[in-house]
Amino acid sequence: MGLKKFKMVLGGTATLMASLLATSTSAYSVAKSDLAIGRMDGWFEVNRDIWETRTVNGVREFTKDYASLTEFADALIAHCEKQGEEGFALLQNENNALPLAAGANVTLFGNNCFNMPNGHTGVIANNNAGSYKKFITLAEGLAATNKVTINDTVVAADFGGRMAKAPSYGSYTIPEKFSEKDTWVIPSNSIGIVAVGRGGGEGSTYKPDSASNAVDPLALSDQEIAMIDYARSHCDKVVVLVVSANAMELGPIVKGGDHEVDAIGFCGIPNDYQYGGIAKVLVGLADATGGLTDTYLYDNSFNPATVNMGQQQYQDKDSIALTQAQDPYHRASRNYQGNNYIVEAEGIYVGYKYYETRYFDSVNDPTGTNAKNTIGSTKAAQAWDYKNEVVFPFGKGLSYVPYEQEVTKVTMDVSENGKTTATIKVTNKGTRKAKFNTQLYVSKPYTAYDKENKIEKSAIDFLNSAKVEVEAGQSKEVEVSLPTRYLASWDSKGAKTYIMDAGDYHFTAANGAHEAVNNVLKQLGKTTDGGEGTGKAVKVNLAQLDKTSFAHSNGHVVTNVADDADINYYLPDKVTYMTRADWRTYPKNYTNFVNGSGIECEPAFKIEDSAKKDEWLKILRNLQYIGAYYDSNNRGEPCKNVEGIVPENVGEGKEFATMWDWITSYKLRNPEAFKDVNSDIWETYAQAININEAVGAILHGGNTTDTLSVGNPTSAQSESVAGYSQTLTIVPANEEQGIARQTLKLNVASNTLLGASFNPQLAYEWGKLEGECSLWLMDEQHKGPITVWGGGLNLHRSAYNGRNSEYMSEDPMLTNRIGAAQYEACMTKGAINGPKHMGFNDQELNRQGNACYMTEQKMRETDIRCYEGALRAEEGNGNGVMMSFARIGAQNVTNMVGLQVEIMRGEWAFDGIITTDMGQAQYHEPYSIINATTCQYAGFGASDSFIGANGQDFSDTAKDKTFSYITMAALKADNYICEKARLTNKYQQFTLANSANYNLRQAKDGEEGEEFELDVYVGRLEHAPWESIFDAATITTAVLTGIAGVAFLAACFLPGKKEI
Amino acid sequence: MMNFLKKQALGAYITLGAIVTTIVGLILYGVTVNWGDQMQTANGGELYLIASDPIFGTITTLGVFSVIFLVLGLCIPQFKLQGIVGKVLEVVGFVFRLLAPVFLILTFVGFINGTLTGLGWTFFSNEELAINPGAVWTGHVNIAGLVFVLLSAIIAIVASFFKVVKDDEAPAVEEKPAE
Repeated sequence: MGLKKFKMVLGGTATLMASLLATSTSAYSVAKSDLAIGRMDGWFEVNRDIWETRTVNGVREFTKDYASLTEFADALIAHCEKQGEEGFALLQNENNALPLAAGANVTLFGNNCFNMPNGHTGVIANNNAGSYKKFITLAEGLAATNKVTINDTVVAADFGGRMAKAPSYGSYTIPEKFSEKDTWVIPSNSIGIVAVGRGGGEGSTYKPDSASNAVDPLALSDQEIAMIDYARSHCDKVVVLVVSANAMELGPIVKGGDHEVDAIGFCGIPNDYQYGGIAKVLVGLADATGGLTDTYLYDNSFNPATVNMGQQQYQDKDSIALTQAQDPYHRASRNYQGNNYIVEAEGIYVGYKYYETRYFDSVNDPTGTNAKNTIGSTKAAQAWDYKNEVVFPFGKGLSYVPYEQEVTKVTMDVSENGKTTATIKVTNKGTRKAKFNTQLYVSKPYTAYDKENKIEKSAIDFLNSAKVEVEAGQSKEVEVSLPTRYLASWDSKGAKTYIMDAGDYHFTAANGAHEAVNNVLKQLGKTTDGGEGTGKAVKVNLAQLDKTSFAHSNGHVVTNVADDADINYYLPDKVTYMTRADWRTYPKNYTNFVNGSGIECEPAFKIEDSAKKDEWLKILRNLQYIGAYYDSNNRGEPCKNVEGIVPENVGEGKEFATMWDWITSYKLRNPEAFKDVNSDIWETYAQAININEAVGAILHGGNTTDTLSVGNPTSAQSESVAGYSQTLTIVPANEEQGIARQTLKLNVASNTLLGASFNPQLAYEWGKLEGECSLWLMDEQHKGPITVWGGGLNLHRSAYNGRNSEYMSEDPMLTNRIGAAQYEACMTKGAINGPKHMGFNDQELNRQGNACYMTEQKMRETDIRCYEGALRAEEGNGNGVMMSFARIGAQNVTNMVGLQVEIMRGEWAFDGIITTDMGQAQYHEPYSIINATTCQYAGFGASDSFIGANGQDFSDTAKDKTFSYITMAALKADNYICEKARLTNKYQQFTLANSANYNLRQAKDGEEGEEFELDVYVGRLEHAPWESIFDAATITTAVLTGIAGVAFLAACFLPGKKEI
Repeated sequence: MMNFLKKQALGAYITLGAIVTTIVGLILYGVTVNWGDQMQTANGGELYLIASDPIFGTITTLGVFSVIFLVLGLCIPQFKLQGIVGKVLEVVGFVFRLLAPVFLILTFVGFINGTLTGLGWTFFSNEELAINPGAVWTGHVNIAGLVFVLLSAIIAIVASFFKVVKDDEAPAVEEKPAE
């Protein structure tokens, strides 16, 4: 029989087909896994959400401001240019070097003149390399002004060593290379512009005093100095532009320095289009109105915060580890990430709050405060002197047109929701109309009560700012206001809440913090160092110490929540935090590295020495809440509502198909209840979510918001502090007309320049545009909400953090005001937008789990305050936030009930989404993050939102595939965590429902509703078309395997010719 | 010994090659899991892998069975028995030769799935992280391991098209006409 002859071919074919069958089925399972399904759907352009167009009657709640995509794109680009224009800060301008005279010959030196900033994360210039509008370099921006002539003998190729990423806390080689080229012809009247810069980036932290070609990675390198000196010797005037978010050490080039230049300007880290605006300022087409967002120092090492950046580990860190048997969940992996810590011993005195306060005290009371003590002085063994420390103060920004600013009136309403409003008179002393930057500062009383209760006060605090245009020779009044609560100080010892001291509050308007503090000193009759403005301030007296006005907020008691953030809680009197009562308390060094300040390291802490070591260890192991099922000390109550309780009129064939339909119907039926997360309807909604999904949705938050059986739509996620990271098609391809598709990447903002603009109104404009991005994306590409982690609001605690380019400033109130305006505006477009990385992401070194020990006053008045304006319900009302990887004290921020539940959900009435940064299994422990109302454990992807086999699996043995100890049996035994999970889901669903994805509201009185078509989410595609490829491959290979296999068996068993 | 070698057909040598590449692949897999366990891909990056993840136990099992199947697929055909027992043995031997590449494919896919996060962060992170040199080394070993396991599967498939043992040179049998 012929079959016999082909036996091996048949067997081989059966093997091949079986192998292909295995390939097909296993590849399909991988393709459908959490990690890959999002990417697969992306490749095949599948949107699993099913939408139905319904005709509704009402009013669109969120509307676009632009009629067409090109109009919108042009507005977005123009706004970014404005960020450059308003953010550029002129720090020094001798010999009228700037603005560049019309027709001036300009020679550009350095890579940064010809290239976009490089080595940063989040703010990634160079995104828009082509398509709708290409990015603009400084050289291109200057050329585009048509005001100056660029010396074309000096070109980009002449410079080597492009701006590069910062190191991972190691020695750094500043990349800029310089050598003179034979081809260069530099006219003697040419103006030399030298751009120097520094990279940054995720995972990067500069190490103080550790550079191979400079005294510090943020100091000018030999090559940079050589380049500047070359320009000084060959050009008529020299302008140095600083392209950096990390405050550089510019001592050698300022007036009086060894390499003095004529002008210095701050450019921050521009994104794709900001250089266009900066160029306009340089040539005088726009006024110089930006201000410096960080204090620039001669030596950053002596900044008290820098002394305590870096790393240290507990002497007995091994005691944090548990064996698998000891771990309450018996986990095989137990990486608690608890070994590293720093002590933020500088307290509230970050940046100018240290330098200006110590200066104030050195003038006002040098002996009583020891402000002139040698400790902390960059000049060894010399008395501390402001002029030896600070190169450029916070807020400084020169104007081309002379002007004066003066506070003429202040009203201070000291009540829970009261406002403080200052009227600032701005006088244009020049000969042309110009725009000016006004900055409002306050000097608060520092009293005996403060000293007794260890309350610290900066001698000067920035409050808010505004820009104003004034005609030549004229004056204009502008009102600058802010909630009075931001003038209060945290008293963790006495009143255990915010207090307002009795005494004089001096309000002043100034160009920078130093001018402001001098104004106050002059008011007090003191002799200053001469750097004052008008010397005027308005005094408001508070007769009595106020301990009650800010003791409540949004119906919540405001009291201590972070006693244990202070290392002294665990090890009494271990650390002395710096106090202005005695400057000899300048911080000791609690790290393992001696920087240029020469302060020796203190011994590392020992957990064993603490009387509260068990409590400490429990927190370091991220076990804030141990599941009742696993905790013999806290068995709790069994879950009362496992499967969810759905109202009678909800279900297939009923009035409402899903709970989502039911809740969104309240947008018209009861708008007030719909917008109140605490209303009965939202509680009913939460109770309809079963516990399998309530917990699963949090643990598998991934990079989408999942669809639950309540029938909500998903929200895709987008991540960039500079805006939505999506690419939008602005002009579609048209083959007939020969038009290629033109696109625009939307993450085009520059946080550094937005901050340096000192203009909340500009931030409001950006917020509106950022929100409008979401509306266009929904209409053009996604049809459904997109959550963006689209703002960066951390503090620049030190100059060395690699992510400073994602954040704005060393000042919490500048960040607070910019953030509040950005988010308030963005919310008007129905976007889901959250800033990041909240909670002391002060350095990238050991960022996962780094414990930052501090006082509660510092916690509340520095980094957390940066976010308060953006997230408070009555201010920015932002609806999302990504938390940092850090710990506040020993508490991982995403597990920290005091921060997330008491302060954010309670005091601020924040009802949005809280996400972890990239989830780390034992660090973001599920029980503990749910306990703190964290809504999602972030990851690369997620296709499910359940534990066990599916969202309806309520069998005791159902367990989570990532966290095997999260079982249905464990959940059923724990009513507390189930209800917390429901609450947390409610926040997430509430945010989705109130976003633009359901864009309908009731007509208000006097407003006419209309019939219009609304896309309504109705369900989810379970089987995408691309999955059919795998189905077909599986069926085909299975059949062929079968046929070949049977044929092979036949060939084996059927008799051959010889056998017959 | 010479007779034994003379008896071996091409399929035996190819299968032997598959056994060698599989063992090399599994050693590289072991190194990857050992080195990558709890290793941070970068300061602030994800862990390369967590060895206690059940997927690695599954991969190990699949890999070991692949070798066993290859060895059995090589050994069983050495026993040339007559009659139905011989035929059954032939089929059993072949089933092992069929299962070997199937298990190798599953090992390969599991290996990719288990190390995708580590490989992704190490070689494809768009976050400009400073990647830990140890992660890069682990990544290279990981990729080499994947290549070997895939190669083993392909070789094993090819081997299945060839006999392991040459047919006996049977004495001439007088053909009888069919009755």
